[in-house]
Amino acid sequence: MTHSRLLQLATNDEGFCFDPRTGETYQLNDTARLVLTELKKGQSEDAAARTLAATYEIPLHEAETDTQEFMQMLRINGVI
Amino acid sequence: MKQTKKLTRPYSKPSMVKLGGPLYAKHGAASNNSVPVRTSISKVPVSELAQKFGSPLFVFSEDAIRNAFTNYTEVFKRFYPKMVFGWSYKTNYLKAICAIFHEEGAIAEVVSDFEYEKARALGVPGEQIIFNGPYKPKAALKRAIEEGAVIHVDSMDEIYQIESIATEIKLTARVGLRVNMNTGVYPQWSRFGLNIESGQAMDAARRLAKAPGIDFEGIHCHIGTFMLSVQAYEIAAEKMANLFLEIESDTGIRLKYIDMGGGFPSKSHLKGVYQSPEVAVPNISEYAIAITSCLKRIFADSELPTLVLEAGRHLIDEAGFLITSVISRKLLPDARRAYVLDAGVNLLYTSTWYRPVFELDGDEGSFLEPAVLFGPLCMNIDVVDNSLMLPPLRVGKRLVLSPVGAYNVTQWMQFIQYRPAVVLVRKNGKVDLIRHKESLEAVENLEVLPEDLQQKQATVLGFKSRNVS
Amino acid sequence: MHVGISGMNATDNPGPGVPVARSLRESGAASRIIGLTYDAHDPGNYMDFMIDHVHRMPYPTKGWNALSEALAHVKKIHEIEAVIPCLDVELPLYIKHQNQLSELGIKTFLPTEDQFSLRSKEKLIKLCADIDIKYPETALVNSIDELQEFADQDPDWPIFVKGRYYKASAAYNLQDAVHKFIEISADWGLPILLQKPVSGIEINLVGLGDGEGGLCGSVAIKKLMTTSIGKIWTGVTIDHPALNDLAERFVSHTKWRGPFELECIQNSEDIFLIEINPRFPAWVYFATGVGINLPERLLRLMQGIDVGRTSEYPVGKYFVRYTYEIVTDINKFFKLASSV
Repeated sequence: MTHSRLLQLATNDEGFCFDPRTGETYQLNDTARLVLTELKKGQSEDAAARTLAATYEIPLHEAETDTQEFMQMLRINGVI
Repeated sequence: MKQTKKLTRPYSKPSMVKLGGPLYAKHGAASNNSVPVRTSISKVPVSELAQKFGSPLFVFSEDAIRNAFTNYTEVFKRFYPKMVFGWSYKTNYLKAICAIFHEEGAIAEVVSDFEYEKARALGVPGEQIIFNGPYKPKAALKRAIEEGAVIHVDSMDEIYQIESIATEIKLTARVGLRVNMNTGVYPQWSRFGLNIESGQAMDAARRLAKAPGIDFEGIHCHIGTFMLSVQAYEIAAEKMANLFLEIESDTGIRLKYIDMGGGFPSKSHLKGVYQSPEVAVPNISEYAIAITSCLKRIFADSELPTLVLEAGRHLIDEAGFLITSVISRKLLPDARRAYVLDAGVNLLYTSTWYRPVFELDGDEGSFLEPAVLFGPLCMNIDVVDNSLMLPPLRVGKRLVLSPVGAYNVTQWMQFIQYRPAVVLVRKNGKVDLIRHKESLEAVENLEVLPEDLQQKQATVLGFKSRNVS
Repeated sequence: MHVGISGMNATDNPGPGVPVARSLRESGAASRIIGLTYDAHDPGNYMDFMIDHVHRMPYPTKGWNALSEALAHVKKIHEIEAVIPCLDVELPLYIKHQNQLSELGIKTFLPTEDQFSLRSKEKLIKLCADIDIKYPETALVNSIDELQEFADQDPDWPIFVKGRYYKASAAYNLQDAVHKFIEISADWGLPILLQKPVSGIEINLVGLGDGEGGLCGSVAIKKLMTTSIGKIWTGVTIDHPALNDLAERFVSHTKWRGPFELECIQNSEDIFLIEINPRFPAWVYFATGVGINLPERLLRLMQGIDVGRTSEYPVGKYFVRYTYEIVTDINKFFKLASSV
């Protein structure tokens, strides 16, 4: 599932994220930025988790749990 | 190229933090600093301690204890020739801890029959015990009189009781008078001892002076705890010295000592005090000067009385650490991160008033998010800290809390969890276990199950495991 | 000189940092100004025509280690030679550690700890007696019982209920006073001061002490209009010989080192000293604007350069504070919010 709202989010290299619809600003860490980039490319959550696991050489199940948790953060913050 | 750049930073769980949230408010608890790291306590790695003795774990440093005691006693001795130092048992009465203070030259200051027995069992002679406290059972008073301990009386009733015991056993009781007074601090501690301003203290002194079986030796006060006001000690010392002289002129008895109690702060961060402890907490020499210069002034023309002190927190707080680990993580509905730790308010009684320093046992990067730390109790109030900025932590990550050496290992509670082990890092770097982690046997040792209640099993239908036939 | 300045909160409750920076900028005394900010939202952070660079600082509650690390970092990058701390809450830390700062190669010009403690109201009472200036009739109380006793004798309401260092509020009856006693003592401790209000005209003076008893300039003003939270909106310079004398006596008696503000009330016969602020007030640019540039003189004192001591300024100059807006890129905010 792609989240069209995510495409609107503006992020910069320092991990800042601006939601142009609400005006809210967020700070993302490197891994969150990576997952967000993957999602914006249209990748699925699972695929984003795989990229995360491969990039940082961590177990896939950890990447999956963490990606899922990040999705919750996006949801709680009303971004998706 | 990009990939290698990313990998130069260790993995950290994905996180997003909303800017302008409550933790970003001015003068908030949050800081833009990274979280301090502590990998060892007295040169012993935190990981080694936790692996060997488990988590949570209280760790004390022998070096820190001895250094604190030496520094404190040297400061007072520099200003006053006749000093006696008591170690306040209630602050931390683990045997090993008390033994160190006794070895350093402290006498025992106890406040209950339990503490009295502890001191005696540790081999402290009765005459090196000051027996304080509002409740001393008759048997304990009798033993204290027999063993020559100094009893600080808290009420008129206690004076009458000591008179009658001493007469009965035909011995003389060594007695001091606990007094209270207004020193300009709030709240005024008026519940212990007898009040100076209202004349009660003097009435009690007159009684003690002529009471049968009583050797009236000194006066004692303890004006409060974690006292940040040096001036309050100056006021107290002046009132004590004047009372001392008034007792002499009124009864003819010249007492031996003035006991100014304790209450000296540690470098702990009292909640509600904005400035850091290094700014808010006066140096111990300021207290020493306030007390001793006042006594020297008032006793300029006569012999100086012995000055007794009963510090606790100031000597032990900073020598104590608590290692705790992240058990689980969750996201709260307001997007704050929450961690469940294996140590909670059951072990951190003092966290109600003091905010410890939280250190991680390894660098987790500088991306910080607002976090809440919960303890392991199934009680909503079990919150260790509700506004901390932390990097995203993994399960199993260890935190080191300090200073926690004062009061926590005496006021901790055994509620649904075993209390953890306590270890002492010795001067030579060796680590000694000084209290075992509790076991079912230790906790249930005092329980008695009536015979007819033994081996009863619930016979509720439909609440059985499928795997058990 | 490269100078770090705090107090970038040029908001409706303004800190003195931006006016201090402006004074240094206009005189050319500082060749580079680094704003030391606590909050990414502070307006001074965005005033690049006044402040060359901005750094986020750890809150003072974090203590000396955090502060010294941050200052060492700022020094390394911007080669700051001096810092002018402008906020009450950070002064205890800076004052306590001024020697270590100097070891770091960072100059300050601050009051001593003893001088700093004079602003506590108990000490102020004694100081006023020493320098022969009136202080409003004041009672120190440590308990509600004592407050009650005070009320029994002197039911001349309203009275001001004041904290040792901060906070004051008028009470119109005993019940009101008890309420305020609890509120203020909870925040600022004891004793609480009960002060009879002095009616008259409020006048203020900003000055600079050289630490040896000399006054390196002062300007006296009257606030004409204040905002709803009591901050100056418009004001006028005045010539008040008794107030000037007071400033001289204060500085020579205490050997005050650094900037200060005296808050006074003038009634038909006397002036009363109400408060000493151990820093520049946020209206310090008013003094600069009439030719007495105290921040510049402060920098010169740090460098050991003899500064002009004149306090001659035109009387009747008018001060107006106004609002102003900056439109900039949100990336500036992002950068600051993420900086450590």
